[in-house]
Amino acid sequence: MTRIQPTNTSSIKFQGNGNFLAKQGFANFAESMGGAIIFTTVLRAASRPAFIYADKTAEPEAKKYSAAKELLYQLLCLCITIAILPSFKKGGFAIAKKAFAEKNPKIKDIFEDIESKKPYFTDKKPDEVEKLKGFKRFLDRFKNEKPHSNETQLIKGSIELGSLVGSILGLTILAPQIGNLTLHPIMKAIGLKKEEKPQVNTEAASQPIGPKTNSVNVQA
Amino acid sequence: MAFKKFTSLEGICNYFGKGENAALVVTTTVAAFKGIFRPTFTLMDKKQDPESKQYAAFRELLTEVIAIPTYIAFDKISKWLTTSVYKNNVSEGQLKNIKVTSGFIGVCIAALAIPAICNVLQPPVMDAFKKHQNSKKTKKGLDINLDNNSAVINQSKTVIQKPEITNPVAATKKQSAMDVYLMTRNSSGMRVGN
Repeated sequence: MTRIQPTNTSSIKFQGNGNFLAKQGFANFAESMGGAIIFTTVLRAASRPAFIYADKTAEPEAKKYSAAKELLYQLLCLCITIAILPSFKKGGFAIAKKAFAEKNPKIKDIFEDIESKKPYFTDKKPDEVEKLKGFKRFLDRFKNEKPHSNETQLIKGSIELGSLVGSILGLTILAPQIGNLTLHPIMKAIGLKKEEKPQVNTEAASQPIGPKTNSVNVQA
Repeated sequence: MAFKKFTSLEGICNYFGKGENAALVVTTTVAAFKGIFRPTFTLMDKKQDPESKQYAAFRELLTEVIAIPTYIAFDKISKWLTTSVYKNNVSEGQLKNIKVTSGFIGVCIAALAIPAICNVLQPPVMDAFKKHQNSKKTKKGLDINLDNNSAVINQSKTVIQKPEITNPVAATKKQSAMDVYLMTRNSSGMRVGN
């Protein structure tokens, strides 16, 4: 397959004070929901434990435990997001094909081009392009085609919708449930235990006057 | 109406396809769902006593309530700053890239700033919530120092009186808001928000 060279529309030269804000590569990354959620999760994994540790009102052991647990939880969120997003992107791509291809002949043509692996406008080498399939092939083509047509934006939007649904499912439902099951054993394995408050012996402390009190025991 | 475009799948996909607010949309949507699901899961936790569950759930909800406007504010501010600086110096395509990238950077800065903002805003609100819980307990004639008053209620069923703890040893140290905060935080993996 012959490689079609990108035209000047994809390599923007800017004048004056050139800066990374106007670069197409950064804009492509910033337009991707999957990239945004993964990057912000990495930032949270770095910042939240640091803030917990910087808390001067808490006890050192409690801070250490909380910061370690928070770090593990954010890393778990990151792993879950990275694991499930590609499947949801594929799902979004499939939804675009089902929902839009029949109604819109242009979209049907785009899907046929992708499946037939026709050459397209790309900055990748031919052997790299050959390996791309389905939504990855579409995304590579989308990245290099400027300006975007309404049809390609629609398909891209469907892939992003898949990313959004995957992020919501991963971070709001899966991560807390898996965290509840796995974090306690991991914390025990690395030797970090939750500090338990001393129990009050209610039998010795109870007096004839006044009712019996419950023991004060911080639950796990 | 601007929201009409979001009523159909095509409208939603069209908007997401443009990618202008991708970072903001995904972070605020995830924060909104976290604000719904995490308190719900916390309240469903059978291992904790009801008061701690309520405290933890309220704290998680408060975290997301603080997070959403923070993301929006930082996104808008960063876009406004960069476009006001660059709008006369670059082409339309470059300006669009600048807006998208600066919005993303704004959301990333918000993700870093939210814990700090929560550290400032949460304690007074959680103290007020704790006071509200204590006043409810006091009205019912329960001991505000106890996590679980069910034993007291059962034992003093016939004679409803405010329990008097005369032995200073038995008098448990009154848990501060930070103690309860750390207790509930340590009790589940669903601690701080987004």
